[in-house]
Amino acid sequence: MYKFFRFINDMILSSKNNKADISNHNPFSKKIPVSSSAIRELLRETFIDCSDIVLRELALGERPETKIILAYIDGLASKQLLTDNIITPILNERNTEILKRDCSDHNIIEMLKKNILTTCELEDIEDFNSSIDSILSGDAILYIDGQNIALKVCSKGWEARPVSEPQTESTVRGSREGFVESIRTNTSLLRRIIKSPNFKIEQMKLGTQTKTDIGICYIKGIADEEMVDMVRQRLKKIKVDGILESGYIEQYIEDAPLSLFSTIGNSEKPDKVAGKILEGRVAILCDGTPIVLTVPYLFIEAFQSTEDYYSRVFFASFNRFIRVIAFIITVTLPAFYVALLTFHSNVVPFKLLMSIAASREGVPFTPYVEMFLMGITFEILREAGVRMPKPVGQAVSIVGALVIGESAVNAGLVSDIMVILVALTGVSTFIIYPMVDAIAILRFILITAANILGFTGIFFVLLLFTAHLCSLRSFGVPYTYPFSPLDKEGLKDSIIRIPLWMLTKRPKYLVKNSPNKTRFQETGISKNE
Amino acid sequence: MSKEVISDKQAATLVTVFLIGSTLILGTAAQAENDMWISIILGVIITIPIYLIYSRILSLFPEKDIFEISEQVLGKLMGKAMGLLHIWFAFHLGALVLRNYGEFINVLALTATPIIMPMAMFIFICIWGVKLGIEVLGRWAELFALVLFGLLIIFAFLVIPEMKLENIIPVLYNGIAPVIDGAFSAFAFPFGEAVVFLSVFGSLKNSKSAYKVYFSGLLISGVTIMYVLIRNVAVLGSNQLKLLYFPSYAAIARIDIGTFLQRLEIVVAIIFLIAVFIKICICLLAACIGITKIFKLKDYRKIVTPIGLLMLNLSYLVYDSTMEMFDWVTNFWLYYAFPFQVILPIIIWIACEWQSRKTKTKMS
Repeated sequence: MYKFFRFINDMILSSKNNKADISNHNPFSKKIPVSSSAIRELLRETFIDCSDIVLRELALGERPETKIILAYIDGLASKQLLTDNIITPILNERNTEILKRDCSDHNIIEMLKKNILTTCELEDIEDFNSSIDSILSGDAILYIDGQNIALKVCSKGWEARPVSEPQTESTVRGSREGFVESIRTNTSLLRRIIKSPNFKIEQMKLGTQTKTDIGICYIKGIADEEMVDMVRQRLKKIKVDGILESGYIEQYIEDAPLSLFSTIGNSEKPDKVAGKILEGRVAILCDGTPIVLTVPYLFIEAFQSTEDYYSRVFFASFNRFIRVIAFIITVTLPAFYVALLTFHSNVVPFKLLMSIAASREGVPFTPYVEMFLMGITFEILREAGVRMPKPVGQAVSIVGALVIGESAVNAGLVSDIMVILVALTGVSTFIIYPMVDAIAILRFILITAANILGFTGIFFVLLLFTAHLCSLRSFGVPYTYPFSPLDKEGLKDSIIRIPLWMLTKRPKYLVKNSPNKTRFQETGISKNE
Repeated sequence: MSKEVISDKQAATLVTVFLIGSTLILGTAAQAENDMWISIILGVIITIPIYLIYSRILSLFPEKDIFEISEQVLGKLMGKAMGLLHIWFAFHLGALVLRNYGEFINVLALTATPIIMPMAMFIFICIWGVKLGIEVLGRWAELFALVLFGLLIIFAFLVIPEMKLENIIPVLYNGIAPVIDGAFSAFAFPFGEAVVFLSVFGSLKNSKSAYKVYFSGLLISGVTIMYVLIRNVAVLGSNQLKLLYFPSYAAIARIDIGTFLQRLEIVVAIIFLIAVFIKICICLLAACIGITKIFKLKDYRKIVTPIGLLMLNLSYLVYDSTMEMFDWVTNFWLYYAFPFQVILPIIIWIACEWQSRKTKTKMS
């Protein structure tokens, strides 16, 4: 079924893509014209009505017939860099002397590169269209009169958010750095952690209009080659005009697009992503977003946090337990409450039953309706909390806590116990934030099932979902690993985490080709190549 | 579509969970009363030669299931007839297990709900599970065997205060006859039912491991069933045991620790659900694979839904009441299942050996 949807997706996308290609400025490669006036004309034509393009003409030395056109986009290229390292040297008097003495049409490019320009990165470009692409991504291009080769100057320097603490994942212990919107900064954050030439960052561009930079990061020798290849293939298949966030990529390459559960992980923290890469996973960076994707993503990863590895063993394992309990509570507790009151009141111990009955006295709804309404209310409050502008935040919390909690009970619309339950499940949800989307839906399904068949209904739905979980795979790895297929090595870092010095082997299913790889071997360069 | 394979561990788990299946709740070897555990030991011993035959059949013809094998060794007509009998057994067994589950829910949980309702919902889940394939079922079983055995072990500790071991003695008070009777009953239900796996284990990774799979399944499930029966006798006593439909449920209901841990019998329902799900899925899968093979269809997934719904029909019609069900299970199942569990496999086995000898002599 999923293949069918993927097929339809491809169909729709490819048809859209064809249209996009036609509207795109120039799909085929094109030589750079030799004369500077022709170049100017071509650039003018290409960038007509683009107010942010800058074309600066320079005369090279004292040979006024040799003109240079410097083209860049205002705001993307660093003006400081261009002034200091391109324009000043060219117009400098001493250099003029050199040029006058040695320059000819044959060696002018070499001259410029070796003796005059003082930037770090320079590149020859022969294709006019790729020079346009470079200009658009923030580089400056030097078109030289009489040459069919242009020089690309790496001058990307735009305003960007500095590296700051991530908003979505906060920790007590560990790095405070978070990814930012610029892919180059993000790769540098990762490179600063993994200082090995085996750490590869492959780059590609996606999106016919946005031409978003995508980076595929992995460690050669640890990550499964097949898996890296699978990631590459799936990314190449994406045909869309724009990639605005890594979520676009996620939805195009995930294994089960119609599943409630996500098979691709994401994170905003470099240390977390570096940890995943070290385990043999592949990270996908996307320009323009601080959210980095990691594949394969397994069910158990929702319960893992970076801090588990930084804090000592017992506390780490304890926290894992807490998360598992929170997960069970948040998914099943409301359903069990509904089932108990609707079908199985004889199972509840008598005293507890009395207190529940006392609190439900005068409530006009059945437990199911009550739970459903409160659940919806909670979801509304949650969504409002995310969506609202910061200054009005106070209002939401007052309305949420006081009006809905306190007053609804006083008015006799809901019972006390219901408010406690909804609050508990709500708080528990946030402990396992990566699964918050699946949990919310699953909870409502379970409540409904509990209202129809009681415990039997709950178990039926759980059965369905567990069978579904077992059928999922994320980039070839079974989603429920390490529980099924059961793997001793994997279990050491699942619901409990044993001491780090005992975690000597990598998860078997992630590094398939050599399952007994230890965590110590791969530090050398020569061994893997 | 690539062939599905399951690992040895998953296959062994499937066999174990399948055998534990409904036995955990219904109990077996009721004739032997407080000597049930001896019956189980004898039953396991009787089962060993039969499992040797099953494994031998599978390992002689790697990557083939019973339908292909019987057609190959018995000729087209006889082979197909054998295949049809196997399909019927799997189909009927699935229906009976489904009915067991329906009765369990109807008697203990949803007394006012018509029995067809939980059964229909359950068969839909099973249909869905079978459509996911044997590989997913194997993984699911592996995951939930942990839950199942985890719960069993927790109960083993919790139930200790309720156990009175003097309920088990006097050993052999009624003589050896009912014990042997019980042993045969235990062979027919549950151990012999593993004949259904002959249709499914074409997808074993390595068919030589059929021995390992069958015998590890037998060992684990034998020990578990024996423990459960001893527990039930020790907690309830043989007199009360006779009166109860679902002894495990009643035994666990006795747990009452500090007035806080009580009413745990609902958890028994979870165990039962896990085991029964696998059992029905395997039966349904076996029936569907058989029909696909015999009628030369392409993919078994297309016929799962109709077969599943037919199974639901049969299970609804097969008994009139709970009493009838228990009467059938204890008194008639043994004789009804014997040809399917023993005679048919032996015929196929002899034919297999005959043919493999023939090919061997030809080769030399």
